[in-house]
Amino acid sequence: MLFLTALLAVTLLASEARAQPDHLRIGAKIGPSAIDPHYHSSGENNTLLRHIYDSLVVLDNRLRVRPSLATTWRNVAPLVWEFELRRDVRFHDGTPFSATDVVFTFERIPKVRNSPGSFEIFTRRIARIEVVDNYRLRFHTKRPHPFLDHDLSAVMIVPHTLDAHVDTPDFNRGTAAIGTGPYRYAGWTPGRLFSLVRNEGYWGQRPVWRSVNLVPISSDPTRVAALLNNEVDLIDHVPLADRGRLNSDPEIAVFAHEAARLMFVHLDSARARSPYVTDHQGKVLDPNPLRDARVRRALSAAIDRAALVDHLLDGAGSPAAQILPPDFEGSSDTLRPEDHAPERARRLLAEAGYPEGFRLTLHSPSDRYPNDARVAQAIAQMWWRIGVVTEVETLTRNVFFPSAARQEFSAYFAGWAELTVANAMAGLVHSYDRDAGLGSGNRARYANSEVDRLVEEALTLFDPIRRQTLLSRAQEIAFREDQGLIPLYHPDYAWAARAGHVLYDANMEGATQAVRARRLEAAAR
Amino acid sequence: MAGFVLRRVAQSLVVILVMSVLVFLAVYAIGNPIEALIDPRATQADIERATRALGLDRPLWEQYVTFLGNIAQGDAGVSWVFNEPALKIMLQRLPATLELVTAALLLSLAAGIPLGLYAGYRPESRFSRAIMAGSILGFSLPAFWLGLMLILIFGVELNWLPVLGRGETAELFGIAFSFFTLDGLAHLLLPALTLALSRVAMIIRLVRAGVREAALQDYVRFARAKGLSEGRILRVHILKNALIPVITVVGADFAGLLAFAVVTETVFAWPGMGKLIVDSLAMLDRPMVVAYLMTTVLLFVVVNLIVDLAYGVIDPRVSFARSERP
Repeated sequence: MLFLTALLAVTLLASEARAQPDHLRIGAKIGPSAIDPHYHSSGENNTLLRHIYDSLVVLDNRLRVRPSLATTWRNVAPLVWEFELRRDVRFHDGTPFSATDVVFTFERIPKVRNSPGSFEIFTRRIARIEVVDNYRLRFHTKRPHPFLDHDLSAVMIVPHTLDAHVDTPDFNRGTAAIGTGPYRYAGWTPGRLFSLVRNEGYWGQRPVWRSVNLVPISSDPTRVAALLNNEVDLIDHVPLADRGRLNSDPEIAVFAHEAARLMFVHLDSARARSPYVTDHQGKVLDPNPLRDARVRRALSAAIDRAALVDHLLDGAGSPAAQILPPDFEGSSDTLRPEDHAPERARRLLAEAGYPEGFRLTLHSPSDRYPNDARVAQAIAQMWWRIGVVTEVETLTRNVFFPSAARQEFSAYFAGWAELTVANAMAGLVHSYDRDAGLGSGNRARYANSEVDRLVEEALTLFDPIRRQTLLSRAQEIAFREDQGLIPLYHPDYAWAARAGHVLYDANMEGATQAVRARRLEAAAR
Repeated sequence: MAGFVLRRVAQSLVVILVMSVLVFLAVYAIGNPIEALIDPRATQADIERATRALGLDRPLWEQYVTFLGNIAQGDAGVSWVFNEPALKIMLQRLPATLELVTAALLLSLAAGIPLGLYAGYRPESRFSRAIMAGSILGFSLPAFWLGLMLILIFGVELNWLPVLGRGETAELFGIAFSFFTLDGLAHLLLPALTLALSRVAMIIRLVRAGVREAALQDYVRFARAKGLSEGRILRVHILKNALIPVITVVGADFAGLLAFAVVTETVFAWPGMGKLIVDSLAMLDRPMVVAYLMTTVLLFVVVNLIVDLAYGVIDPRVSFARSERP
């Protein structure tokens, strides 16, 4: 009885917190881990903190570099980039923005204490910064680096008036959380609430929301329920299981966009004997059949990519043939998602000397990507059909990725998010070169000297047309002729919002940002 | 008495020490936290630099010795995810969890005692049988499923109650509590109910057993023979005696509630320690995990101490003095 009385008493009050016209409530799967823009480079931090801070340049929805705090930039010599800065920008505390702030920011990055993922990955190629005048800077790089502007889009600028020893907790408390961005810090409790208010003096387009509250909700069903219950206006990472239901709800609108992420299978093509490649009796095969490109091509042809996307992702993705979808710099026009061809796959296996197939274990994370374990199961079934008896072993992400990096697997399913083809080829496909920092994601140790040469040259070329030729050629070799990696699909990123209140600009970066949420007029609601 | 408390504190220090070794070994065995934290584009050199920054390049025993030295000064280390003292972050979350656990405890007692009393007093009635059958459900329903069902029914379908987080809080002694605002109470209700339902069943059964046993005692028959009213017999003679085991078990069960709170907090995005520990485990944030376990062990020890002391007050046969050898 007590329950019911209490229930009735409070339910009457629950309908209080309803949508307000110029306040945006976001339910995000993951919130920021710190308000310090130089502490930890992660997908969420790098997009969520942009509410507060700006960078010199930004990427648009087609991943092209566009002006932000810098108006123009050009490469004046192979090792020198010149950036011209905006003159009408002020930080949230009123300090005018100038070249000194950029220098302060770049000097701070290597000094950040305890960083588990430093922003130095974006700044390490810079030798020094030369201040020409208050609004003109020259970045000198150690070696020719045509992608410097791309790298700088990840570096958020803080004012030089901050203490030289400013530390992460100062940002977290808000005392140092001063940027030039569209919103100002209004409070942060880790894991509970990130609140922001409009920067009335913003130099760019006036932000539409007066205030924004971002609540991290890691549990998928709870995030959806919070939206349905009108406790938030916008959620990200819409779970696949709820897409259909939300689509058919007239009060909810779903916004999806193909992600700049490739899901793939990596095969151990390096070792003479691979631990999980055996004959049907369980004896490790010597030589390792995965070293034969025909076997790798057979495993690719055996996969029905359309079925994976349609049945396991409910259509939330598109079959893939290369790093990014076509029409991006470095994408090849001739690479098309491979058709499902089990007959050809069996023929290729027979040609390679394995007409009876062999045994294989496919490893997959179980909690990293939408439906990852189910997709791995489906791939295994498709391989069974051409005689490759495949078992699936799924592992939690914290076990999976370190094991993959130690080459403990023979075949694994994973994803790679990257905003340029060049960087993806350097990180995922180039042969592993610890000292040069290349192939850090090439956990299967695929190596082709021709691909390496093309990628290395492309990384130093300033001519976009030449670069395009080299990168598309490298992709064609790696993904079609050699099948060093089996591209599967590009998943979707999806957001859902209260229909009639918010219109969301779905994007391939997966960025959840108030500036991408357009406000619909109250009258239309 | 002071000796008893001191012995207890010494015991709990040993427990904390053992826990810290286990946590160190476990996190070390699971994997490399750098792999979970670092940008996948990082090169080997970046990974090594980050490893040095977190002190993970040193041998495990050396890391452990440093940790022990710090912990002696009340410093559990800096969270690898938040770059702030782990204990500080944990203590910020403590009120939310304590509030949830207390609310659940009160709810389960408020429902469990009357129901158990009735079921023990009229064991053959249909209502009693219904109570007992229902309590099996309470035992067997998993908390995450129950939480999701409550969210679906009261949040999504009926639209009566909020399902997200903690709502408005009011401050008392500088600590934020939801007890004092209606919005806060509305937010508290569903998570507390989820947590309470798993415990109600146990309380019903305990009270029922106690009542049935007490009802057969001589003093109850004597009271009845004296002509006392049934209400008085029930309240004074039966219930009081049936409650002694409940107090003990509820205290001991406090840890169980804390453990279940991990699931409940995740389902309701309740910003307590439980949700934090789930996130921290996913990131292998060792200082955070150690801070959580230390806080939990400490809570557990304190609650058990209180229960033991209370038990001594209720039952004069319990003595705190160490039994001396003749």
